[in-house]
Amino acid sequence: MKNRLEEIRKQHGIRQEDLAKVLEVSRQTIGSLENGRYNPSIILAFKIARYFNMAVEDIFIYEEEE
Amino acid sequence: MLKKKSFYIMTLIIGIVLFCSSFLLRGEELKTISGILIGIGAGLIGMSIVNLWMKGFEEKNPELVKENEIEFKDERNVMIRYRAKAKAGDIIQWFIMGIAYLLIIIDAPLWTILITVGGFVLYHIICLYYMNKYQKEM
Repeated sequence: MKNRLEEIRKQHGIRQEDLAKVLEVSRQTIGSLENGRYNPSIILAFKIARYFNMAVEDIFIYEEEE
Repeated sequence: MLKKKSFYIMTLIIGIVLFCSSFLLRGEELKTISGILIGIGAGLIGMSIVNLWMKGFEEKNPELVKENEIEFKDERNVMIRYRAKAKAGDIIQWFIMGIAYLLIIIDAPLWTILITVGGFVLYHIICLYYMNKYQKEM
């Protein structure tokens, strides 16, 4: 699953550390999400979407595997 | 998670009592019991002091405690921890089986082989139990 987290975070001018603090996750989790190495739980995906006032599917892009 | 401060004060007192009572036991036949009391007492004293010190540190650094709590509960860290534990369990089961084969080769007493194989079987019983439990829960 791809995501636009890094792009959206930078648009909002927020650092990884600060986003991690607000979402109560580690900074490494934010880094892994941005790199696409880790897919978040539904709860975390909603927390992120709610924080940026966006829909989940605007941040996380699900592509069906071929 | 760490328990309350009063719990560690209580374990410290128990440790001191056990340690001191070991000196009241005299005589050759009570030597073993005295040794056990010293061991348990010293262990409790050490554990209590460390945990009380940790409690004091926590009270002085609430920010750091919060950070550590977030790190501990972080969903990615939890997943990593569970995966690592599962992997370690998988490796250990074959390690135990290897020990069992080794015991057979060196012609070890039957009870040692049975205990080792029992450990392997127990691992699978516990595994099946939790699989069944989680199947019902999720």
